[in-house]
Amino acid sequence: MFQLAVYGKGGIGKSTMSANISLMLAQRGHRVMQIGCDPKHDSTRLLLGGGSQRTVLDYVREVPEGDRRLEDVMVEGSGGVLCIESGGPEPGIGCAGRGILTAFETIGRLGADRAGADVRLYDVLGDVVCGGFAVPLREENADGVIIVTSGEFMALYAANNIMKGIRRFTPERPRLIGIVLNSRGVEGEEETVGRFAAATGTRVIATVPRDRLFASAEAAGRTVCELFPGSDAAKAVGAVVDRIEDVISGAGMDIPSPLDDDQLSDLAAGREIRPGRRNAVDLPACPGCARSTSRRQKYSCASCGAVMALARLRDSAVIIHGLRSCAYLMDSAYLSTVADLYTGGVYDDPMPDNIYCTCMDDSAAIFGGADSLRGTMESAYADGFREVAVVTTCVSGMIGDDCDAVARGFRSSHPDVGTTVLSTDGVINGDYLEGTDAAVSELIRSIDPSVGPVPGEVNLIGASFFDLQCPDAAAELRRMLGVFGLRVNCRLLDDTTMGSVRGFCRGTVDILLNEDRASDFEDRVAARLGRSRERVRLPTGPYEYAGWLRRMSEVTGIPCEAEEDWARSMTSRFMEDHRDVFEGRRIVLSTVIPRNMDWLVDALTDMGAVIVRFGYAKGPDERCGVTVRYRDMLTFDYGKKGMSEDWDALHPDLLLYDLDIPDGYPGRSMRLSRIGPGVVPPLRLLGSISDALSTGSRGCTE
Amino acid sequence: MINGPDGLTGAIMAIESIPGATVLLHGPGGCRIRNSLLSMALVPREDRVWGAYREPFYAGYSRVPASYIDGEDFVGGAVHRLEEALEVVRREGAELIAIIDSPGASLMADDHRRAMSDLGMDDDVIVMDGQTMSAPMRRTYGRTLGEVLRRLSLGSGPVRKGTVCILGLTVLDPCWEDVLEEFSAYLGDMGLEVLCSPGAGASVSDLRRSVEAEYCVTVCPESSDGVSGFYRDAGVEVVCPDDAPVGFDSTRRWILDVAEATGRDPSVALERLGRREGRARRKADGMRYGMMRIEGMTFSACAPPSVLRPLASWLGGLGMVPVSLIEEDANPSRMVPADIVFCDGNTALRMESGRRCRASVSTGGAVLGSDGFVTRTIYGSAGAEHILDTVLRASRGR
Repeated sequence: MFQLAVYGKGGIGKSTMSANISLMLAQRGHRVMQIGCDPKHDSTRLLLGGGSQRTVLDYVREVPEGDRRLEDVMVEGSGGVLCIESGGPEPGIGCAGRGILTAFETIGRLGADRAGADVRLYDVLGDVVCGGFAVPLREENADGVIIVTSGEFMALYAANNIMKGIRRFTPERPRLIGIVLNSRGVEGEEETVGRFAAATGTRVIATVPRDRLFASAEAAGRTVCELFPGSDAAKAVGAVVDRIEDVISGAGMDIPSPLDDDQLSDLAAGREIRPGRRNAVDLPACPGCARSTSRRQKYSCASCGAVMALARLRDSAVIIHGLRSCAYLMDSAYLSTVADLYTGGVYDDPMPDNIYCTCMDDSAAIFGGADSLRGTMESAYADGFREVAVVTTCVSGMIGDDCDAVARGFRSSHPDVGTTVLSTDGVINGDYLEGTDAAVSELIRSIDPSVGPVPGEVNLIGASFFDLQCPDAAAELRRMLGVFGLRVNCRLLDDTTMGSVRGFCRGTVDILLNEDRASDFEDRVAARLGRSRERVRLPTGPYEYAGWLRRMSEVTGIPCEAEEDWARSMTSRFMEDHRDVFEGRRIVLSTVIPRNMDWLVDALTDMGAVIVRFGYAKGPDERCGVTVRYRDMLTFDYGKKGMSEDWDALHPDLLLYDLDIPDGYPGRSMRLSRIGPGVVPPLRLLGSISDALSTGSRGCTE
Repeated sequence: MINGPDGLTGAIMAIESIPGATVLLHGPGGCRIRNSLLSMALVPREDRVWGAYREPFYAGYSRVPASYIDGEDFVGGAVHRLEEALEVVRREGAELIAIIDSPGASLMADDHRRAMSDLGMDDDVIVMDGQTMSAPMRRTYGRTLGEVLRRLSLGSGPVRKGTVCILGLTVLDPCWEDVLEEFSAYLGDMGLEVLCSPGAGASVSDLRRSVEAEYCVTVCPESSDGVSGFYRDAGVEVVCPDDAPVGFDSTRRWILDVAEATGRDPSVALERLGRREGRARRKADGMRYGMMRIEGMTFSACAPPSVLRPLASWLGGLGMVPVSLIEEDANPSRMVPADIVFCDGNTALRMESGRRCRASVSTGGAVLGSDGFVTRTIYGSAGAEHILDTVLRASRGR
């Protein structure tokens, strides 16, 4: 089978030419299949008496896969030409390029190859606008290409782009059959197109006259070749078909040399075309991505970061406007970090079922996903959610769905709903952290500054609530707040509600968690409100706890001496009981997680241990969150290699680490997992370290 | 929402189920990482070490390297990334490399063949065309496998009498290796040697000679779409019982169906099953009052029809009440809360964490970190015991 692609600028007359070529090939004994690859689906109209046919993409939308048959989308037209129209979305929505791909895959699956055609002609929309529209141009789909053009500059510009596409796919294989000049009556048209053909290394195979017979035939819904077979127009088509048959019989085709911009200007100005500086197709598709590894690789996507953040709002539905795979992959990530907290006693309430997905399929990618987004928002509303956040993904971003408009429409029919649209667009607008940041920024924007403080309420602020996410830590926090009669208003950002975020200012004081990004969040809150708020850092370990008690006493006016005495005596007792275990022991402390470890350094050294290395996995920067007071002790870029070397050189009694150690590390080691705030969890951790030093076993804190 | 795996994971894991094969995902890192972890966790490979793969496109994880396309690539195309990634992946020496487009990448329509051709790898790489956008996981899994089979140069030896391939089992089915063991034992009892199990650990060479099998037998028909057709076209008789072997009765029927179609004696296999069933019955008798609590418990399920039918029938026989049965590939919707839910692993975990069920049973789509070590399948006698155990434990306190 010979496959032929007919390309040219929109409106240049490709479909008319294609239908005439198909008919004449059929009249000469070929079995021809014509496939229209234009969303406006009128390629085969003149072969069908002016009628239209069901498009492949409409069919895909309407008929389940198992029920599809080729006969439903393939109609026999004049001369027995087999007619197929791919179809496509309405202008301005969806992705027509993806539509071409889907149509190709579908007719392939339905057995178009077995329909008996010996010539297949693709009539393809306009310029080569994206990868999808270039599919018919690929080597496996087009043995030969005909370009239809007029003498107008934009038509020649499009023709030049098509040549670039041909060269890009097959730089060394001749596949250009030639140019068909479809005359528009422009002055000097034949000469211009002739110069263009000569400059690009191809030929004009026919000049189709500007002839009112075309209009007459079109009005009758027929081809010129059928109604006026002896006309000049039909003879021109005959010349094209002669050339096609020659090519089928083995005649040579051309490798085009498309013009660069300067050469095109020369052509347009009627000047002599200067020699090309370099071949137009040798330019990389994107100069910035000559080597992909020179750009930062994004290991996760912004949409995932946004979903992970927004799903923590239990009264808010998060709608992933994307594919089922997006929902599966993001939900997997979410569940693996969060689900255990709900079953493990960290939170009192059950985990909300608040992650929705529009489950865009191929059809939505082609025709746009606004309807499915609207439907999913309605589902969330029906499930009782009055806050809805939409997070866009790569596919919805690429096809340009107007999610803001959908959200506006939804709000107008449901005024009781708050909506947020985060156009993260998968990896298009960043990676995981950027997605989380975008979500947090959006939440901070929603804080209502007019809300007044409510005595006894506090906010917790942190990017990671990791250290609080175990029952012991949660209990200690409750106890610590209970000393001052405090309760948590909003956890930014952990399990919380949109209502508490809006009413953030009910909190009289903001308690920042033990990690460096907490300050970022607080600064953004201050910027939003135009004022700084009372802030306190959540303490870890006995020394910090003492300071916290005094500070909170000042803030609340509630005395704390009893609690201070209790914490002091508990700490003293612990130290007395364990000092002999720690005395003189050599400890390597290695950390990856950016949480402040000053308390641990204090406690270990106070009990007589020697920290022979304090290693941090990352490099030195201004925001090193693992220590405030012991920065001069830090070894940066410390990893498994350093741990192995230190074992040989420093002979530590214990390696404390939080993420990874070398395989087969020969010494004693203990993983520091969740630490927890206040006094009790840290002392419990120190007890575990004492056990590890005493017994030599590997351990892990939780 | 039911947020189980879809066609993207199905296609990736179908390739990754083949030792010696590797997927090169032409897509962003976000589509890669969970699939990479799934492959590392579910498919046994001796040479895969955490953190050892520091090359670009691997980023520390040994499986499912990706081209890591980003926003600029979506506009400008990313064939250059694909070429670079292919070069790196080629160095790993996989027997088979399959390029799978992420859904976003499929919109760009990059010309993979050009990348392969530029590297002289036209014959070494398979490009998996086709739509994975929200497509059903099982169907895509089977079709991907079928496509691989069609593109491999297959053995042309004589039919090996008394051999069989097991179809319709995926590495995303919980504890698939245990299922394979149990059903291989039944087939062995019938004098049928298992040649390989396409999609569940069969290597490239296994697949090449799989067409020499006398029969194919199917565990879950929905997972073998595309594979069954391939073997039928290749002249291998495919035995495909309507129902998957879920529960003792259905497993018994499966054995009988296979025996009848292959002309084998089922008695030894039935005896093996009978021993497990008898043991379960004795235990149930010993827990009479516990078992009585099961009556009236509710269940909801989202699974392929071949699983739903025997499951509903069996549990109904135990006095349990179905509140919702959803076909897995129907439009995704919500699971209805019930005492016990049967669904993909993610949704099951979500239902438990949301206290919308007392207990859950995963019917497919593993959840990393929640799989545990004991056999928690739904198929065969082990599956029946797991389901009974889950139901019984969930009945406490009723």
